[in-house]
Amino acid sequence: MGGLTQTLLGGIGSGAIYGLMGLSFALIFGKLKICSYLNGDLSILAAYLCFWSFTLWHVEPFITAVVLCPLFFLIGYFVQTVFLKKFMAMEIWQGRYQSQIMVTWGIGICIMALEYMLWTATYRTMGVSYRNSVVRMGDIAVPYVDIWAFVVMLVVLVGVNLLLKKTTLGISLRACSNDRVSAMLSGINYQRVCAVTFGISAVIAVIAGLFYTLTSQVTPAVGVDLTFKGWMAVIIGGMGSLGGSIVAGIIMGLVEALTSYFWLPALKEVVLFVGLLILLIVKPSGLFSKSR
Amino acid sequence: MAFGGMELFSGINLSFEKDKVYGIIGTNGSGKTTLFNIICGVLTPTHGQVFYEGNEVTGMKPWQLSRKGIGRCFQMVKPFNSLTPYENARVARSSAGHYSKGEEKFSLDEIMELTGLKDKRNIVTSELSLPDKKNTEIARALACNPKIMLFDEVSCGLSGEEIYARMDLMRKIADYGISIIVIEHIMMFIKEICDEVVVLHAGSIISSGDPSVVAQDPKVIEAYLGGRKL
Amino acid sequence: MKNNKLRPYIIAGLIAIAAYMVLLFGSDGGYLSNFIVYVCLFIIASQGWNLLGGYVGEISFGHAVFWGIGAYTVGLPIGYDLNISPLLLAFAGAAVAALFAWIISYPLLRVRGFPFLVGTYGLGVVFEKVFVASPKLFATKGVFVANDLNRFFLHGMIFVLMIVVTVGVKWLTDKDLGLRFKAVRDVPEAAEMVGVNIYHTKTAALVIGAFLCGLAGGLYVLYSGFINPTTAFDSSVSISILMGPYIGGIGTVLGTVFGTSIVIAIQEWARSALPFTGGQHMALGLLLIIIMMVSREGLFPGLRKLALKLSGKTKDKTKEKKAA
Repeated sequence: MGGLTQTLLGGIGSGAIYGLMGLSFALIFGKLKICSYLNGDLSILAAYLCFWSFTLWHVEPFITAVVLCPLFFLIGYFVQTVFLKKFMAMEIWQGRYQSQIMVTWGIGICIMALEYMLWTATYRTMGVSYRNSVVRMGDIAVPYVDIWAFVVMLVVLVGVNLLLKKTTLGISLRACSNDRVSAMLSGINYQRVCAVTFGISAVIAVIAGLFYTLTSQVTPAVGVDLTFKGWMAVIIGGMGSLGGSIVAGIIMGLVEALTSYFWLPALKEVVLFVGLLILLIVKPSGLFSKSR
Repeated sequence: MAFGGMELFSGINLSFEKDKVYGIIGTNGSGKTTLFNIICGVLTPTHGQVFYEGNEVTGMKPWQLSRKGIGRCFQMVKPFNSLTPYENARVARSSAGHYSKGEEKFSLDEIMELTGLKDKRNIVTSELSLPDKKNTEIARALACNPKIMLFDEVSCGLSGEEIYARMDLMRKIADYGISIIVIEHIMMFIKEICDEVVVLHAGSIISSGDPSVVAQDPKVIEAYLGGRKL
Repeated sequence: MKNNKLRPYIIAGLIAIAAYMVLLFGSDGGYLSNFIVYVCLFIIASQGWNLLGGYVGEISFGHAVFWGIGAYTVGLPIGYDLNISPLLLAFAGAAVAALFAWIISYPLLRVRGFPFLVGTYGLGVVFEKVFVASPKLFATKGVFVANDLNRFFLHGMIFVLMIVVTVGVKWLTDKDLGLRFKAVRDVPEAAEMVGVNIYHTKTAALVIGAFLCGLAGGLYVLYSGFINPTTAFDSSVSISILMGPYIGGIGTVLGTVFGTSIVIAIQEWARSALPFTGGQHMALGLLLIIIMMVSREGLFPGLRKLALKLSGKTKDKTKEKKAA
């Protein structure tokens, strides 16, 4: 029994990372209909930078992440203003989503290629001292990192919600999400709102990457994997609901953990995607979508 | 023969008879387009039923209804932009029109002629002007072999002359034995072409009957001009 | 009118055939000949992808699944030493892929956009993992598909099939069904209003596309003589399939031919010129970004627009001259 509880807790830990990835997509897709496919690669880039600074200079990864946040905010801002801006005014029939997906995906491939060049395809493990330290509760051992991931995920969720509800940026963002043209007519700089939101989404990706590198082994190809897991969380959570994608991420983590526990770790993705297909048959709009 | 009958919004019954031109007017938000969406199957009414040619069609999908002979033009034009007007009509003829083979009232060439797109039939629709885009939509709806056509504010955004052309076109369509329901804001338009008019206000019918009579109805005037203030 | 429309295709076809003859007899089945075969195979698969991705507008990241199904339908019976004609198997593989596409369309195509994209990617992952984990399906060892087909015959057949498929797709997209594909892509709600069943239309595109991908996959195995989960189902195969239409011109038949040739050529070039890991990815990623930023519709429509612009200008000039 203890083993199962242990597994479930581990699942919540990795689920928190998927939830964060999902949140970073849900924020830009749900609110602004920007379709990005590079956040997973940004995460892994951040993970590698944390790894690098730790192995070369023994910098605490959490500190590196704090430094990386503004940097990645700028990267996100830059990607939106330089690459995605010209697709924002396009209608869907003109291939708006296709173009966005392809550009961001192209950037993602380039980031991945860069990682291959700098760090090769070897699986990297960051040897921080607290990696294996655990909190013991009876016969259950919960890794510190998992607890941290979960707490940080909740903090990010609350933070993003506060940002949306309380700040001027959040209010303009919601205005743009409701009606782009009216928002622009009332003096909101639409492109800037988009760019800032993309930046925030990139920062969330950094946080997900930080915890990924603390809990798992990193290789460049994981970026695409994280991207798709994040999008899965968005779909399961109901296309753009922020809380929904977090919950969906945790469910995904649990499904993976349970598959590894009862069956084969190699088949966890298989079960996950088959589950997604079943969900699409039963409830195509996702678990937590507001019914229209 | 009862052509259609429905319970709308708040316990109202509305029926349209064959071979007539109906006008629907009403203030913004009175539910005109919602009514169209229910007839076309885009929206399924929460309660109440829709009948068409004596059969219940509530909850049918738009593509099923269009195969039965309901054609529609949108308020905001939505032609297939990467196709030419002729191809737009071809899509409709091969899809919805396919289910009423042998009953075609006109061939595709006649439709092009009728809607005045004969010279522009091979130009990609996204490069056409707004009136021609609207014509393309009418051509597309006609190619479905409709028995009833719904026009949602086809005069919106057109100049006076173009509106007259549109009225002529509608009369011609009616002459072919196709029933028509139009949503319009322009009273002159309604008076010219409609046999009967229904006035919607806040989701209920406040008046219906002959256009010139309805126009004098104090309730209609109140709804449009805000009677108390006058 | 009609002749004018056909002329560029005929000229392109003649040039291609001439070039092909020179290469085939000049290089005697060496490196270049292999390269041409791979290009042709990926063109067949890309045309299949293009039906759904380009004409209906549903991007799939998992057409490698159909490619792989076609490949394994050829590979498994041969791996188990069953005595079945390999060519028959290749076409059977295409049929199996189409059948699978028809089944999978039920969950995947009922929703528009991202669920489809993510679902198709997931499908690729599922197939790769299942094949890797099953020793009965030869796991990571893969299958060596020995066959006594004449390589020149195979080469010629693949080339002819490529042309047949390209012309066939062009023909199909000018038919009513092809017009319906575009109608669904342009305005789905209006397409429904003229009696188009969106789900059936998309399924048709997916199934025909899967047939072509499966055919290409089966022939790939016959030509290369080896198949394992990575060469069958990996996302890099999907990427090779979908990059061509994007680079060349999504929703155009000739663009797909050019685009796929360019993509495979770049991959080959990067393999020798950028021998470090990631070199290929970098080249393709940069190409994709540049194409999307410069000419969003792809190289072929972009060039056509440019040509129209230039010829338009020259026409204006002649008019001016006449006026003067």
